[in-house]
Amino acid sequence: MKRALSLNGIPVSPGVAVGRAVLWLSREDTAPRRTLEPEDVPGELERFRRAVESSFEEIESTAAQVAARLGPEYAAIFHAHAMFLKDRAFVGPVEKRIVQEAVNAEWAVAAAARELVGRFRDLPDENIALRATDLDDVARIVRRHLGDESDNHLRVEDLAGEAIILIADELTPSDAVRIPRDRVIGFATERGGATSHAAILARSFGLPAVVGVAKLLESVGENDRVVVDGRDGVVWREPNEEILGLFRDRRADEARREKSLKERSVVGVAVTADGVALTVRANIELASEVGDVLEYGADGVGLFRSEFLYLASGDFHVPDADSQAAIYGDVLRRLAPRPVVIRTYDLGGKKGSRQVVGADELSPVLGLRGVRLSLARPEMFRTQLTALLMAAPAGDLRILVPMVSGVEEVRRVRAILNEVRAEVAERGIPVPESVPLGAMIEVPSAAITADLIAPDVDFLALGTNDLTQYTLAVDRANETVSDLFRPDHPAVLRLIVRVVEAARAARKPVSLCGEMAADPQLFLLLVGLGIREFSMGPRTVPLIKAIARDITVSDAARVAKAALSLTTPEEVSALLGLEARDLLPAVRRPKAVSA
Amino acid sequence: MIEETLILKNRLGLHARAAAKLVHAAAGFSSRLTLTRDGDEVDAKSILGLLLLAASRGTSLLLRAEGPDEAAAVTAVKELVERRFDESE
Repeated sequence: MKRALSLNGIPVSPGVAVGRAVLWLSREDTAPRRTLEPEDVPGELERFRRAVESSFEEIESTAAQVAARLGPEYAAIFHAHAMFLKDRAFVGPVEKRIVQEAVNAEWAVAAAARELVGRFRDLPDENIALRATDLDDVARIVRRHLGDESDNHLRVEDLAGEAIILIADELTPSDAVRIPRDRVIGFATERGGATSHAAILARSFGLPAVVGVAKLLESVGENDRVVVDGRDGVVWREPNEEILGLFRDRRADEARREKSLKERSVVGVAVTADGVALTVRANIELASEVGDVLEYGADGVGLFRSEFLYLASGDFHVPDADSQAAIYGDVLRRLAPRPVVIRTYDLGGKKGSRQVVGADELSPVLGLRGVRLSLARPEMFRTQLTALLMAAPAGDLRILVPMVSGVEEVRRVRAILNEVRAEVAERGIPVPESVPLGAMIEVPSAAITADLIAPDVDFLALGTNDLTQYTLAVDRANETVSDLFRPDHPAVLRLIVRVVEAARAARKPVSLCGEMAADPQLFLLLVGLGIREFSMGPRTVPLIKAIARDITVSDAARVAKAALSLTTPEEVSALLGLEARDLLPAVRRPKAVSA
Repeated sequence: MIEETLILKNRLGLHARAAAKLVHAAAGFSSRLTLTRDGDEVDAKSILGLLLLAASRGTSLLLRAEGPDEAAAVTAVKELVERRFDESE
């Protein structure tokens, strides 16, 4: 047995997970080759056909599960897999190889798939070239049904009953959406930062996760026993009984604590000890998270990242207005009378930029993304606005526009929204007189001109993840600079103050929906800077509401005033650490488990 | 045998979802159906074949049908293409 080993990384989603490692890797595309005796060829063909049938049943059953769990729009990709599997263009070449070369089916499947995948990859159309990955997946399922065990990726389904920890180089948003959540209890990745999408999804799914773990892939092997400590950012390989015991105790403590926090969270809006109401809403990406919003006692949804409707569909397809309206309407109805802020597609940047934008961009994060893309692709945007307006009567809808860099974009969106409203009303569909329209303040130019934007919108929402990234010129997913990503940097704090003052002068509400709000110390600071509405991953809502009930706005304001006089993020962080000892006793935590 | 030239009008061209619809439409007929683009001929009942045509908006495709229900098959496929695969945009 391997000796116990601990590796450090960035903690991104709290909790402890103990399970077996499954490596989520770019996988082998060859299988062992065997030459057959001529009389064995018909039997091999039959064996291949049976594997195709059982693979087909598996894929259809996955499609049904996904449709039931997340909705039919997420299952489309699996129906496409089923069609690929039965396609003569795939089955034909496999059978031909088995017969003409007298080789085993595993090898024939791998070789035929490799050839087809290569042809797909060479296609000029990125949308279609991406299908190579799906074809690759299908070939692997067939190989597994043939008993070929050289494929790590698919072991996820094989480890019956065992809790799984995914070990990966990096997880993309679409990987993360497709994690089988009933089996996977945590993950660790070698790359990625605290605010990468995999990290955000991990928090929303409640999966303990650690990212940016150096040497992870060379240290952890398939099927090793692994502990992911998502609070302290440690991954353990083959921990001994003593360490496992410490984690078991901590997990039991955390479960008790979480239960009591949840019970307090659901009773209503948190009011500080000096009588100021602080709204704490949830950020969600999938309609299936509505259950979490209610369970964890969030005061509505502060940010529904609608682009995941599109990203999770797997084939970069925009659902039509009716099916989008059904999804939005369902979320609004289930959460009514709580407000639900739906952000229009924030595509581009790192989220499907090439697929959507249709061209390679040298710096996609500075490219055609968010509202810029929506204004450049008005049909797609109008379809979404139509769906939002159709759904609006179901609850308290507010529409938020991402990546605004100046007031002119808001004016153009308002004009389109009015046109779409008139069209929908003309079709005899009931729509409200007006739906609140807000601007996301996440680009420095928007923060600096918040006083010019505020009069033209109904509300402002600070997006501190991107605001920090753009203000400090730091890519938060790049581990060589991710330690420079500091939302407590004086530059970011000054911009927040500016936005709060602009909103106050225009008598418009301002909320903050970055991950920063989920950090207890930074939350205290933000209250002191004048923010009264927050939004974060649903599972951190109970802790933040508990803190909100413990603190006073006057203490927070004193801390914020002191913080604004400091010169570096390190000084701000040191001040908050000191103040937290007295002001945030609820979050003092037990010692980390260490070797 | 019937031949008909089709021009793709939907924004995304013959992408995965459109190709799947075309296969479903073609599979209902017993006639042999093929689509040809610049000399490359593929089976219209094969989604992989259709995708490998990499046909974007504006592409001209030659539909060939041969068999007992060839006329109905051509009409069905042609209508689907002209309806822009029932896509919303």
